[in-house]
Amino acid sequence: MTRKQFMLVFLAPPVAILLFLAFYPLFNAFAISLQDWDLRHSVPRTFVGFDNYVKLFSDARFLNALKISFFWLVLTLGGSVLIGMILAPIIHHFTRGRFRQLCLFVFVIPVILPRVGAAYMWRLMYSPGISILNYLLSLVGIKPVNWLSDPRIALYSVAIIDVWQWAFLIAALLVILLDDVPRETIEAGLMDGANTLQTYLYILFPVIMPVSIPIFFIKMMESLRSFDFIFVLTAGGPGTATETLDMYAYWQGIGSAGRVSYASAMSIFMMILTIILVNSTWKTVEKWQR
Amino acid sequence: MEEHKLNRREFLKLVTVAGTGLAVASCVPAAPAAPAAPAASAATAPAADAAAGQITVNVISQPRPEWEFMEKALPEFEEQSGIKVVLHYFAELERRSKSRLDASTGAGQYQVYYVDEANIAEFTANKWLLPIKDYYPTDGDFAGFSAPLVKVLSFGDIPYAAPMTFEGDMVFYRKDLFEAEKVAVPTNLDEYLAAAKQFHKPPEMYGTGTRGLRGSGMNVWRFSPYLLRYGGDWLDADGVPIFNSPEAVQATNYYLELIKLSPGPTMSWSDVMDNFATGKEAIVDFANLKADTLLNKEKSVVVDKMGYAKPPAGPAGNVSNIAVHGLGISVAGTKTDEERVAAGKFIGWFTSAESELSKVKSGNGLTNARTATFASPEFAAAYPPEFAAAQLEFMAIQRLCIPQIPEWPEIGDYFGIKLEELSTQAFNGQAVDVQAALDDSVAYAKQVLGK
Repeated sequence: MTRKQFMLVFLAPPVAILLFLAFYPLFNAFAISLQDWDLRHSVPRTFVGFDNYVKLFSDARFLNALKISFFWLVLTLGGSVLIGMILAPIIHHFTRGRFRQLCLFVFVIPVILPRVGAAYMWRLMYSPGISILNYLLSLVGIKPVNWLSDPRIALYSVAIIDVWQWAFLIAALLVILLDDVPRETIEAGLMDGANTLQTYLYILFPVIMPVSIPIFFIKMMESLRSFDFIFVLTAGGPGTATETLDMYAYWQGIGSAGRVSYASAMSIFMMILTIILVNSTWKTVEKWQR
Repeated sequence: MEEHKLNRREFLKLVTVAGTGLAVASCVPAAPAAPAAPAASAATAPAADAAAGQITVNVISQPRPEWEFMEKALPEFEEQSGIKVVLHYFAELERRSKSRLDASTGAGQYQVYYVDEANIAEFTANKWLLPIKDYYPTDGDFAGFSAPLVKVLSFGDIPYAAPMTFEGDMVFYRKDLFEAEKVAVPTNLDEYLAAAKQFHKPPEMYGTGTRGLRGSGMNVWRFSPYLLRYGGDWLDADGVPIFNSPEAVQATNYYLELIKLSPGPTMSWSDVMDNFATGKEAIVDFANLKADTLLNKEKSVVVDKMGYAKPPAGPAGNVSNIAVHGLGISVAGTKTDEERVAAGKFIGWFTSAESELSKVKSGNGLTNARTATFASPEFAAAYPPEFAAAQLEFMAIQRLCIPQIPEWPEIGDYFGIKLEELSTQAFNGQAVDVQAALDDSVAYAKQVLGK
């Protein structure tokens, strides 16, 4: 048996399973999206073509969910990356040895916490009447804030939790990448007269950026899955102020309406949107790197 | 450090596969695949056991303290009956969606469904359940269940599930505060609102706590008895939505007044309970089941300060909303009469008078459904006398305050969004247009119902 045959024999089964797991639900969801399946009624399903997709664009709640999903993506991705990039050089520059290891360990804790558990913890911190955050604000004379019930700030309040989970992880990963940068690179910059800020901005970050970008892409895709925090904290409210696409798809498909086909159309649309978004962002990043 | 240059096409392939997995896993309901999870164990179990001469009853349920207690007694039932029982626990929403998928697709992996007032209409309208009395043990005293509970779990006059537990509205108030300020316990809506206003001194004390988080089982659930107490209703005799009537506007305005006297406008039931348990609310119209938490000294600082009363009456009378949970026999899951009888035996055992009394003795006294249990000496010994009296009082005026139609969850959820918007506006001192919100919700309901 040649090396190529050996690899084929052993790789084919897991690859086949992975492809099946990835594509079977996709094709199934697409097939369902072309029907009019309603779980509430035991009637035969019929083929309706692209009706469900057409309906999406006259559904004001869907368009609102699309807008909210976009804001959520910008808030959580932007917030996590920005804070991560601010924290990383601080930790890299000011800490050494075991203290740095301790910092990195602490930074990883938020993302290890189960998301639903973390959401319940934050809900208690935001809870009207007994909110510890409002108590702390009251100590400096600030009136209680309706964290989750004011439509103007509810999305930010939930996004803070996502950023809290991810910003520290991103910071920890960036610190590890910064550690790998050869000392000579930094010294060369210092010899050319760069100060600390310039060293990080113009030397270290550009060096680690190609490896960092996939991390940001993973966060980007994760941000498009916003169900758990929002479900626990606001259920999409107040009104529809925090209702993202997956939250709306859930309510349409399983939560209350039972319109599986319509929800599937929404999910397929969201998947296509994700691919377009990732593709166009990648192209932009590639141009920027040249 | 060596610079890594990723190939865009290669990376996109990975991203596409990963993105597909993420997107589909996170939001496609994956309806046909969902029932597959328990299939390996559940669907094959009856056949396997049939060979061994034993029937297996798969029960879809949700984790609750009384189930934990009854599970401990299960081996004894299995030994006596020769029936193997497998309990499949899911959280409430998942339990509903799993059983809906199992029934609607005809998968039939469960022989017994855990149903409630929110999905019983869907299950009976689609004939997914068998009439329970056909298989309930003849010596099981089905007539002993509280009549309003049986009514909720019926279609026409035929019961399709045996009640096992219920929740009802009752008033919890701070007896110490009411006595100190010599305020009488409110008996009608006006007195209730006046009392809440008198004690409202935020942030130390809030007049009341009102569930405001959106949802047919959340804010709409809380609102619905007010609608009826003001003389309004959801549907007319022909099933046409009418909850934009003048009475409905009055009820909504009243509900919004209560929201304004609460710590927040979008509170969940646990927010309301946590605030009352920590001594931050003066009076709440709340589910009786929460008494088990409020009477627990480890979780509540108001254990010795609580008073209890039946809900306040409105201009059109009084009513206490009712949430009923019961067990029914699956049509799809029981192919043989033997399986149906076995499922009936399990339900009979779980909901028997003896099981109920053993639950009372174990500290799960409220999770029962028989009138005699609540009037028993065992119940009186387990709860404060005032609470036991109020429990019987509100049980006498219980009725389901939401319509029993399969479309209700969708209609209720939509109205819940509108009600939540009104609540946040009212709480933040903004102008509200109640009539417009109700008109919009009624228009949506008519569209869903095809009226």
